[in-house]
Amino acid sequence: MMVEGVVTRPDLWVNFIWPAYAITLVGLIGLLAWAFLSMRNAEKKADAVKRK
Amino acid sequence: MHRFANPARFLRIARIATPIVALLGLALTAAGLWIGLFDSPPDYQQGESVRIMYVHVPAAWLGAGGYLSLAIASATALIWRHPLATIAARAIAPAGAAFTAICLVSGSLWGKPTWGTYWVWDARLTSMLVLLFLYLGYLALSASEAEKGGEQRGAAILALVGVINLPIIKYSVEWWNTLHQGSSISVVNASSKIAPELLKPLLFSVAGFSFLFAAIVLMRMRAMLAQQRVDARSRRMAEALA
Repeated sequence: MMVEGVVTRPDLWVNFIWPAYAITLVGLIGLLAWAFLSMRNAEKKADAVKRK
Repeated sequence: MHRFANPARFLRIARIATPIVALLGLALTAAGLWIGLFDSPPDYQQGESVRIMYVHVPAAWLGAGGYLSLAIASATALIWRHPLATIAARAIAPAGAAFTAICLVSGSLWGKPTWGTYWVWDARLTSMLVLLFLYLGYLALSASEAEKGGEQRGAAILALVGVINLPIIKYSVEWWNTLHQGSSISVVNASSKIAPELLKPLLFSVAGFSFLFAAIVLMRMRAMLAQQRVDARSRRMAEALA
């Protein structure tokens, strides 16, 4: 049974739940993309230097 | 462990492991967040706001767990001078800092509807903020030492000193009267106070975030090793020309 009056704000999804998920996803995907791009660029550069 | 300290052997394993770990991380995170948002019931007290826990708790665990691995890697670098330990520590730091920041922001977004405030100087919240500052300090010091071509000893010592904050984070809810609730899951006793329907998305998210963390660390380590190869080659070419 739901206890009345604990956390039942009408703006809960719009102002809190969606922003929490959005910030998390942007952070995680951004970090993953940065790590991937920096790895790809560094490995490309290392291969190019090796071939010289 | 010494066998894997060889950069060439590590790279061979990392090249195979990186895409597998990253894809597992993405799939488990997507599943955890989907179940957490759309396929799990609201909590009897927290209501719908419990869904924020499925991003907040894994981020908190990885922020603190990441710092422990940063300290272990730093100790290994200082004591045994493993060639990969410093690189591992430098790869862990940005990921740990990002997960700690996500934990703090998502915690604030949970705190406002639940406690009525985004922030209080509560022992758990403050010690997590200190953890973020320790990560930022490590990143700044490590970048400065790398620029000077140093051995990263100062950054490693900072990482070790900062470990004192980990038991403070863990036991802050027991040692002080905090607004933050006590722990609901005990890894030591393998017990949980959380209902199974709410535990399922949490475990998916924890697994997914952990694999993503590992993927980021592997990619950063590969990037730094590649950069080291470029630097070594450039030095040799410069010496040959001189």
